[in-house]
Amino acid sequence: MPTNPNVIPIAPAPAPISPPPNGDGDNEQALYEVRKKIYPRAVTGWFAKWRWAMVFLTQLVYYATPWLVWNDRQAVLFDLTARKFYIFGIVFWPQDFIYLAVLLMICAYSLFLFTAVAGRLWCGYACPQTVYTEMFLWIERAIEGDRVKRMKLDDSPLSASKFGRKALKHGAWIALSLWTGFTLVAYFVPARELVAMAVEVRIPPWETFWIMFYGFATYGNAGWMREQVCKYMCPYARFQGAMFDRDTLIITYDPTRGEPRGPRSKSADYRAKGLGDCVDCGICVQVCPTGIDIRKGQQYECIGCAACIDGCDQVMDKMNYPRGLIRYATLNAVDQHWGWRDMVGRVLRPRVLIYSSVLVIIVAAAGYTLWHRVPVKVDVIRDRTTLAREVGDGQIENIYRLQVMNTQERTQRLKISASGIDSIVIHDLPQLVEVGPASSKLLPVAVRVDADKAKKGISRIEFNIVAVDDAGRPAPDVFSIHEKSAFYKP
Amino acid sequence: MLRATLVILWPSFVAAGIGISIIFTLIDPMELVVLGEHIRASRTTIYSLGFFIIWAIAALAAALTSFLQLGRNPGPRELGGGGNGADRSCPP
Repeated sequence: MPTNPNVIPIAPAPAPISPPPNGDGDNEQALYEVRKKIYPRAVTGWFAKWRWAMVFLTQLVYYATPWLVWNDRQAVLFDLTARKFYIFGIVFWPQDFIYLAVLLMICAYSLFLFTAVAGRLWCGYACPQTVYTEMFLWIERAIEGDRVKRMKLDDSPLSASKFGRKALKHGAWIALSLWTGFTLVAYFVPARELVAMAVEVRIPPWETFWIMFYGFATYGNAGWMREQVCKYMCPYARFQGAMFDRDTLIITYDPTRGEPRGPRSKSADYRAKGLGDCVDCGICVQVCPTGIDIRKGQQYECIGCAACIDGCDQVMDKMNYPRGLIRYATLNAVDQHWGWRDMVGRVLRPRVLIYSSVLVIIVAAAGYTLWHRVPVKVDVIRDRTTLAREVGDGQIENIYRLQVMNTQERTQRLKISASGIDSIVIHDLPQLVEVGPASSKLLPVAVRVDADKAKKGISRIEFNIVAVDDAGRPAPDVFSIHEKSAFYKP
Repeated sequence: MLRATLVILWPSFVAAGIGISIIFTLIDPMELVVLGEHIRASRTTIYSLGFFIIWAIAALAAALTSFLQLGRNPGPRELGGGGNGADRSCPP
């Protein structure tokens, strides 16, 4: 049959749909995969120390920040009801929305850069999912014991002691989760007020709801879902592969050194038996929080936590073999037996340079605009009800509304004038306008122009706003704003 | 089924978070007029309710996408299509 490339051939679908070649049935069944519970074994070592350091650092920042004070107010407060974000010395208004977008871009590009250089550093050390899972696992270990004890406990029939341990564990988890939820809400409602309300059991309904909501999410994600969040829910886990190349630092098993793997006695000459360095103890699998075998090669489930490196290094030490059978390395380095020097030499490649330069440009631009931010914003709105009217002395009058916003936390004194047409004057405005700290003022303004000076129709005019000190002189950190508007003569 | 629910709820949750931030940064809910009347509720209530409304709509879209994908495309194994992904055993 001749085929026309412009016509989509419509043919009856072959029925029934045949199962995928290596699948084990239809799709609906595949949705019901039973999760095998993973019991990660505790691990100690260099990378575990780093992870704990990051747990402490990130959580110190998270739990402590709402309690910091700045200018007699909470240092970091996202006051949604007043529509103002306080971040130390700066007050952000909705008009500063661009900074939120810039912040997101900085986060995204930092993530791209880190991923290109060293893989899933974020996942392994700083992601809240990892950090809270680590904390929850610590509680679990403290109450139920390490891996084997936990497996036995779960297999044993329900007894008073089992129930007690489980209840204690969940109690501790829930307490930590609630505190986490409380802390989140304390970024939006002043923390000290929130505590006062909590003591009197009168936290408003929505605040209560969000504490519970975030607490429940923490409890569910870190207590129950754990590695499933990374495997099935995290979009970054799926697209991080796009930032990888063969020179990205990842966690690798060195098969040329390790294979063929197999058990042996410590004294045996394993090389004579044809064995590699891997003793096949399975520690690397037992410590893995996502339950994979790193020896099968790079897998998307690997969150780069390096627990298997720590575990394997301990075994290598016991066997008196050199460390690093599992190690941070690039795919090129493993294939071509490179050392650190060669890997570092390949860090500055186009991908990394592009991510870094974009990041530097965004940070520099954001820093520059923040530094040169004018602390007063003015919106000019023309009065729509009366376009223009004649007043005595042969003048034409237009009415405007000036929304003046002071983003600083001290009172601003402003001198407001208009320009653009000869004889233009603001009729009814006081000499100086005062706008209180971090607040805004709506000023109705009548602008008058001699009728013979203005041309018929629309003329461009400008409102000029100059900051002045108490004596009416231009303020030391002088700034002036010019807002354009239009003057109408009928 | 649990996983399908998560795959629907989680991305729509993220989308709702982004949506609500953009909408209510640009629009002050106190200035909204709904069916000819100003809203009487507090900003917190409107933010919270708005979030759930957007979440529900986004979840509906995600659910429809999932539904239309069923039986059309085996998809990546880890998404629940094709193989069962349960072959990574964990030795005791």
